[in-house]
Amino acid sequence: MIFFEVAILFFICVTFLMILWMFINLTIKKVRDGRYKKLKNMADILIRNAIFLEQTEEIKLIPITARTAKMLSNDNFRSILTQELLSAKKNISGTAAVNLENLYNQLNLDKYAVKRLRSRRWHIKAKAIQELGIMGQKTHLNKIYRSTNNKNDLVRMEAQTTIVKLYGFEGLRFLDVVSYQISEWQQIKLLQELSRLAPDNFSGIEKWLNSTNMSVIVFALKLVRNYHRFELYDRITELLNHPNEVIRLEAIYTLEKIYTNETSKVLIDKYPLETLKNQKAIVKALQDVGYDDDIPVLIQFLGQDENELKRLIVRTIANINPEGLTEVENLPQSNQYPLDQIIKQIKGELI
Amino acid sequence: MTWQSILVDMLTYVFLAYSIVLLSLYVFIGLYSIGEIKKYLFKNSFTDYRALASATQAPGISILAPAYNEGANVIENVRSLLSIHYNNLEVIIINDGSKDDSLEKLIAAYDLYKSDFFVNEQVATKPVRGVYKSRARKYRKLIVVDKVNGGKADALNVGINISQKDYIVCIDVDCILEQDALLKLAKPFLENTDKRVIATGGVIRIANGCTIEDGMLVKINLPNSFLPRMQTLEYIRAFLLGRMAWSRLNGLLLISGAFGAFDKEIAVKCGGYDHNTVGEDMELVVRMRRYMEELKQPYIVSFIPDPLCWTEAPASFKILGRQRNRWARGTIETLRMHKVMFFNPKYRLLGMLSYPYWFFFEYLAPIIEFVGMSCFIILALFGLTNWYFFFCLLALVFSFGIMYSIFAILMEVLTYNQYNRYRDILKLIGTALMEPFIFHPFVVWSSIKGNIDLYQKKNSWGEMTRQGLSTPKKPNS
Repeated sequence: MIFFEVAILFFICVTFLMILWMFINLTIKKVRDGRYKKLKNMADILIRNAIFLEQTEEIKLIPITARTAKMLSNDNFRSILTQELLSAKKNISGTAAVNLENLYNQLNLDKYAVKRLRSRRWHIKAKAIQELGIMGQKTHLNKIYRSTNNKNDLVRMEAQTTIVKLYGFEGLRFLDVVSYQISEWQQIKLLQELSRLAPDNFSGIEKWLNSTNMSVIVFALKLVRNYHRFELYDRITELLNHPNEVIRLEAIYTLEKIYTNETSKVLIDKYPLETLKNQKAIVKALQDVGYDDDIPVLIQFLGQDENELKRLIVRTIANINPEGLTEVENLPQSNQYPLDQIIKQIKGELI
Repeated sequence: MTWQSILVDMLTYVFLAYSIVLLSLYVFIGLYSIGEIKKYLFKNSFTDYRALASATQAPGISILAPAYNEGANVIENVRSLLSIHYNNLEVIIINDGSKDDSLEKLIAAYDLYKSDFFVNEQVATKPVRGVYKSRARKYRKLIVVDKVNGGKADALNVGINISQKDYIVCIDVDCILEQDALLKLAKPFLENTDKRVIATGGVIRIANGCTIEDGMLVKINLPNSFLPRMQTLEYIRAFLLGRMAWSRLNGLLLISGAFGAFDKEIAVKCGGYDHNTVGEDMELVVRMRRYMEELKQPYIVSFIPDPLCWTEAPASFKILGRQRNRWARGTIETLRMHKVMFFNPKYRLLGMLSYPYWFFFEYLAPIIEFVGMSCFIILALFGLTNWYFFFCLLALVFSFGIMYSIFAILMEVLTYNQYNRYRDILKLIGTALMEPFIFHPFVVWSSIKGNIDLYQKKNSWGEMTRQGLSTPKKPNS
């Protein structure tokens, strides 16, 4: 019975301790919130002054009050100021953004970020990398570049994004050496960073298309189609024979964007050898790259059982040439389910 | 020793052993969830979801929202869904043979016309009467399907057949979504490079008492009524601790039917929702997992601790009883359908841990509790009860239950801190203290009734009357 009594007493004590912890935490949060508002106000004034400062030859430095300068030794204030600077920098561009970078440099805030860069805790390190990237701190390139192949996925992702943010297309050279897979999410982030830059005839893409890292090939294919690298057309058609299904799929999407007169024939030749998913992608691509001559072949493709594919084929025929639908209607099975309903839907879409 | 005393001792030690294993598992779940929540919060603190909202490479998502007799709020609910900022999206409302004027209201409000739409019947369903699209370009993402009544699972299957995107998000039409809910739910599908994410779920919170205007959550409040407040605590405990721990183990068997995302290809290959069970949400997740295990393909069922979806909780014992009765039947039906996995090493963690846990501690727990209490009462009537032992065991279980609830509240305060007033926390603590005496016995009893109903082959959904969440606007002074 002593077991019960001890256990019950233990549970009750733990319960009371947790309740105490809860209320202490809430109180600390409330006090901190009040202080936070005050410090945030100070930081906002400083940032506002920096944003609206018109720099001349004589005035290079952003005026800082003695009180603010003194407050910089306060960790809380520095952290709030950095946060506010980062969120302001994310939302503005031009001279105001340069002013914010200048303020960051003037206050030596990078020094603290570099210190955090050495942290063993991944989230502190990743956040420091992000901070340096947003504030355009190119001087720390080596330290950040080393993290582009870090074993922690979040540190690695932030380092890769930051390198691209700071060096644009040139920053993509990490793709030469990255041994970890680049997730779809990371690819979206990298492409978004690149979309902010003027298109550049960057080099290295041929090498990436031959990478042993599958995700690097996928990303390179996305670059080819986003930046219309027509000179790589032959290499992309070669990738239609790649053993990896995803790479073949991306190659189909890419050919849709950099097509030639021959593309539809190349895709149609590959169609019988492909998986259902890639067959759908080929048929979809033919909406843009197909010709009237491809319609009879597409009609032949209707002789399979996948209804979704059938719908796509009929839609593609109608997109290539609406007259092609008449040929579909002349088929003996055009009055039967599902083709009769598919034809009705596609006709409705044409109106 | 008489045979009676041997029997009493045996019973007592069986119940004690069961309680100790159960409590130990709860301790493990509570502690194990901490790491996962911390990791998520750190990761989330520097994630910019805006990148996904406008990205052309963002995965296509179809929102499937079945509606049955939702005429009172359907226009507002659909408006709320259409306001979600996501590039590659379609919103499919499935009118499941409503007897009210839901469809007419939708046609009028969104300028709908009946279109010739080929419904690709990948999953067998009740007949579709019509597919409606809007003439207005601003509502081009909207598709309304009118079908013969067949229940929620059947309506969702129609949605799957209509959907043209790669991922489906199944929601209750009256749920209130956070603005970035869809982005957060979509991200796990894009993050993993070595395993396929087949489903994702998020935290559901109780919206009773919150301020809701034009289908948007304006202010979070702790429910004033007793039962919704009990459920608020229950949801915090289940979602923040339970599901996070199971997600970390990759052993999650349930994604709430109120809000969850699925890889459509896998869902279709598995045959979609099963309309022979009232626990269609759990059953689909279990079937998808089983499918992946049998194919020996690496996969994940992911879970997000962010509160993404707010729903109205039953506010009366009658409706709550029906809900819990249905949940119990759904659990049993799902476990029965997949009994082949029980301690089957072929299904690895799913067969050796997740399924047995659900069997012993979700399905059997209320039965054992009920039988245990009944036994003690019978023994007491015969004067065979050791009252001191009985009360010690009861106090042990109750004090643990209260401690576990307080731990859940603490985790809420340390993480999302949505009920951040001292008064609210005190109310939650009070709720935790009362729960074992009022709410928990009722839930156990409803579950027992669910077992009995299933035995008697009563398989109705149970009408879920809702009061509505919209806060009446104050007249201008």
